[in-house]
Amino acid sequence: MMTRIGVLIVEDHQVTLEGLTTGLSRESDIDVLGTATTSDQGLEMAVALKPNIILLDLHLPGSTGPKTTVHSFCAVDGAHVIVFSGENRMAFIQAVLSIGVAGYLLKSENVGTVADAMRQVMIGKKPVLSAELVSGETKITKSEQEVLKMLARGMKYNEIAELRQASPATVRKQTELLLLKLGLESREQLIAWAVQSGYGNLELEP
Amino acid sequence: MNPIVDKTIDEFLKYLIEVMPPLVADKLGITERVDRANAVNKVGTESGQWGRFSNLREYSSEDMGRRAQQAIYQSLWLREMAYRMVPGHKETKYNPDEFAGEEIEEATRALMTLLSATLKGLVLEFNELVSDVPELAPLRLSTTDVSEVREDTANQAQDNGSERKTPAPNEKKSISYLRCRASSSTWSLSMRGAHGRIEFFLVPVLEIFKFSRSETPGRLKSVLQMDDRNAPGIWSIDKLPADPDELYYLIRSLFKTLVFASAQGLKDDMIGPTIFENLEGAALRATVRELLLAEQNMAQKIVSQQEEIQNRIARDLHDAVIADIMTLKRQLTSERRINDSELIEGLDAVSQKLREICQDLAPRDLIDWGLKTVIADLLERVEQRTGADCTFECERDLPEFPYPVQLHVYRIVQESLTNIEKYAQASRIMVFIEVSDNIAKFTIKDNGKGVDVTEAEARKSVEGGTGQSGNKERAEMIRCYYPARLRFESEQGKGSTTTLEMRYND
Repeated sequence: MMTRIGVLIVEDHQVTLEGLTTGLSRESDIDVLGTATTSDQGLEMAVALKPNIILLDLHLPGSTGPKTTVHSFCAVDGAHVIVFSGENRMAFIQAVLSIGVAGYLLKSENVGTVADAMRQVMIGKKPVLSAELVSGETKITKSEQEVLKMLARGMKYNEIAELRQASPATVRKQTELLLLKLGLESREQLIAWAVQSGYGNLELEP
Repeated sequence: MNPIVDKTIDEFLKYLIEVMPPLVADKLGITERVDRANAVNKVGTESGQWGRFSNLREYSSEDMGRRAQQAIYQSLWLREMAYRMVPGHKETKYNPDEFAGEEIEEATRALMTLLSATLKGLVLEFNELVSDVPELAPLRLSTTDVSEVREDTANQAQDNGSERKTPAPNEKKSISYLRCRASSSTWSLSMRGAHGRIEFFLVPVLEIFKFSRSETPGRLKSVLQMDDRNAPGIWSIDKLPADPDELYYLIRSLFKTLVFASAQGLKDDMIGPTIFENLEGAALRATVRELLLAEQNMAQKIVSQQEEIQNRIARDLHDAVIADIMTLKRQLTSERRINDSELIEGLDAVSQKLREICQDLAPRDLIDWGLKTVIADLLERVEQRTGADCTFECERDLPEFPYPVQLHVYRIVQESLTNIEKYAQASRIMVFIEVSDNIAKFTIKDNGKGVDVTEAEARKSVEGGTGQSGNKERAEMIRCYYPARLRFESEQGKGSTTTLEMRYND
């Protein structure tokens, strides 16, 4: 028997909220426990209803800013936060991911995808991202290419950092972002991917 | 008669000082001059690990300045030492008493020696120049070596203010300073150092026999202080860490003040402190004139900036948005009609551009997301547009600066990146943000074409304002909140670096 998923939706845009509520309620394993349109109301309900998943919009009326909002929802015990937003710029997404959300979905996703993402989060996959964000090679930047080349040549973080005049922490962060973008899970997978794609091979290098 | 002497002495001196380095290099053969300065100065440079600076032979006075600057880099080593001495590294609050030992004294001595060598280089060049003009001969300067002078505290007790800031921890009856001087026949620039603090006084030459009595707070011209609370081993001027070039210019400007004070004395045939007041009066009048001029320019500038902004919005809307919409419309009405996903792509592009224009006009994101994320995003977009290899580095979270400060910092970074994008053709762009010891440092760096800084200055005055001057004004605004410093360095073919530093309060 499938585990049931209790969901709280926090979203101020009425049409989106209704669409989500109706759509998600149709899924056999998902219960929409409640909906809220402001950050404060959402937090109260999150504590009272103990949902497994909070589907959270980034820009809510009366909130002090998206980072603070996400922080306070992430602090709710036992709930996974999936952000649902139109914001598709990587720097902002990274800022949210670094707070520790379980997923980041773009508002262009249909309800089915949202439900799937919730199921994945419930079986422990983290973070779940919109396919558009995990778009593979197309979104790899120049600096990430450089890092990939060095990884493929077997270089360590420290060596890469030194060569690029950056700190090891920055290189590590870039690698983590690459994992997200490519939908991979470990550094080993990333190195294998880089080698397969011709990075590090001086003749084949893209 | 020598045509140059026809000018007023003031102007002539100004001329001499401004043109000194190239003139000296060309005509006087700088190498020999400075050699002499070194010979006299040998004592100090021979001591201890600073010995590596003793071989100063083939350096010009400017190089000497750089030697002095190296002392600062050495002091970074001291800082390391300090941390190592304290268990628990940075987490432990540094205790100045544990670090008040020989390292500080040694660093003070080294810096004193190198500063005095720089000063001597300047004096030798200057003397050589004035000796060619009989009217100016009385201005010739003399210098003394760095030496330790012990004074008993009976003198000091009658003194006030400045003296107390440099207590000798183990001495109860006397205090000992490293001292050196450069003097004309009327004024003396007196440098004294102890315990990580070096002070510069301008005193009438007749009074220098009683050091601590003549060195009153009013005559204190500048202080170099080793900031031992927050950053052990770092020398700072006006509470900001001293940068290599600044040390050299500090010495130059002190030297200039000495020469002007002396020259004024010659011309007016006056003695005593009145001379100095006159000097300051003149400087004050000049400043007032400058301020009035600046105010007129400001009004003009605001008007033209408004025009500039409106023009830019119109251009952006026209070039980016209208053009894209027209293209979309054409595609929708053409025979081979584009499909829905192409249409969505086109609309995405338009909304992205509109968002960038809005963002540019009023950076809403800055309020929502904070400086760090917004700067990361700026750089990311530069990367998308230029395809350059961009690195963003900021290991710690930034403190919450007041909003105006955030906005100015953001604009400075934005403007610097825009300049790089427009002109530099760089293949590598880096933005570093470092936060430590209450100093936030923003560095924007590229490996592109670079500019000749002096040429850029010249162009600016013709074209009226580039990004750099805008940045300078923004840095001034930040100064309403925190001590701040903005620097732009560039060299033809070697890229450019913009650095903004500010010292904030917790």
